[in-house]
Amino acid sequence: MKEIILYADATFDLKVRVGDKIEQGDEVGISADSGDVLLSPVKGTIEKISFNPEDHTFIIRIIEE
Amino acid sequence: MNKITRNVFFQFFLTLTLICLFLTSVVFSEKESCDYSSFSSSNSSTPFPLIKGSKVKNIIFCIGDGMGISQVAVSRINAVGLDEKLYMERMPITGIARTHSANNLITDSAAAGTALATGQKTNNGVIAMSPDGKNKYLTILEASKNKGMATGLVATSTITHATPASFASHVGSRKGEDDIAIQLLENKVNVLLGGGKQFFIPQSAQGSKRKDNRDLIAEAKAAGYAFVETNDDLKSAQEPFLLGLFQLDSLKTDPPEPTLAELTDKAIETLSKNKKGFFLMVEGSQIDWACHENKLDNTIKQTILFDEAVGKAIDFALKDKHTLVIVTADHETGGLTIKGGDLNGKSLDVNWSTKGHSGTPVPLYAFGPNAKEFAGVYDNTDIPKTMARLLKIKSFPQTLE
Repeated sequence: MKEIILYADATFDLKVRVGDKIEQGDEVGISADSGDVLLSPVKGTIEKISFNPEDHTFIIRIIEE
Repeated sequence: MNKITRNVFFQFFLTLTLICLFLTSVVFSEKESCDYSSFSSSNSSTPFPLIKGSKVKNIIFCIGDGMGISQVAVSRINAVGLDEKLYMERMPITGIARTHSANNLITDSAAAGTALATGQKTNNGVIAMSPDGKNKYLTILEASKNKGMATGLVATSTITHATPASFASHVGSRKGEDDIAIQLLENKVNVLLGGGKQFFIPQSAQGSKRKDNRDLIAEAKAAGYAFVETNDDLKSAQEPFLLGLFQLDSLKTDPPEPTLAELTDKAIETLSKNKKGFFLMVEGSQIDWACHENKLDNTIKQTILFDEAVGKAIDFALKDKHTLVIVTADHETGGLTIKGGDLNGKSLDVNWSTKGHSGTPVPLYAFGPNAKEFAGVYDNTDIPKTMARLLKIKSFPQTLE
């Protein structure tokens, strides 16, 4: 199992929750500011979403299937 | 009913019971147990009095980052009791503030901090500048300083984080914390207390996050600041300029660090020596971070730590009679709602609708002379405008060339 880490600014509207199954290309989040969409590069499961206050970012950990 | 039928029924009900138990554990998985009643919380529900007939000389502006009405409610229920009140809830005047930024219904702390500091809207991510990053906005702290008042910033984040930065620096991106550190010192803010030593030490020093070799602590000392990094040093400092950085990064909000209440108390002690008055901003920075992680126990802890600091501000204002204390939030975080729980608040059943910020308006609490000016529903930019009017500061808000 490969672990994939995605980073998104905390102003992103996250479209996933821990435990969600996602396909490659699914929306992980949308930037509230720019409208940029963060897509999952792999098929897998959202294992953890944590917050890094220093960078004001979400850290999204995906376990690839 | 024969024996086989009874066995089938027994197995069916056993399976059903197990499914129900499993579903209960899932459905109520967000129910959390926590107890912060041992903190030095407010122990009364008696409202603080209205202060009449005196003018505003000092302002203490307390900002709970991410603190919506639900964050206040869960903290009250858990820490002081369902029918009691936190310090901020005992303040006699309440209001509601809208929080949107110039480019988004959902603000971030940079744009919200800018609104609360300058009376003007900007885009998310921008600190005290116009949305295009071309013009600086005068802040209420800078305007107070121009009037001869002493000024201070206290936070549990790095002191260069978005909210404190919005009051005494001007940058196009909140991420420029090393530049913000320079500007906070150039602005000669009398009291700077919080975390973030990593942005004040030279690149060559261990743990530094600077991109140059400037030693801002040495520069601050040369400019007349006392530098402290322990609680004991903080208590003994007597200088009118005080730089206290208690962690490389943000504060841990645990001993042996000074608490936000102790930092606030020291800031007030230092600033109140100025005969022309003072402006102090105090931020409970980590309410937001707890809510970003949807952690109820830490949300309550951080809100109570913030409320203890509010208590210190009110203690001073009650004696002084010329100090206006304003408590509000830059935005709500987490979309927190209370779904149920015990009446004693030791077990709360909550729902988080997001891991980000929400667009829910935030509460405002006011105490001191002219506090009634803050009753009602208004935009967050109206808050510093009213402060400026009460301090008789002209030309505010103001865009600088």
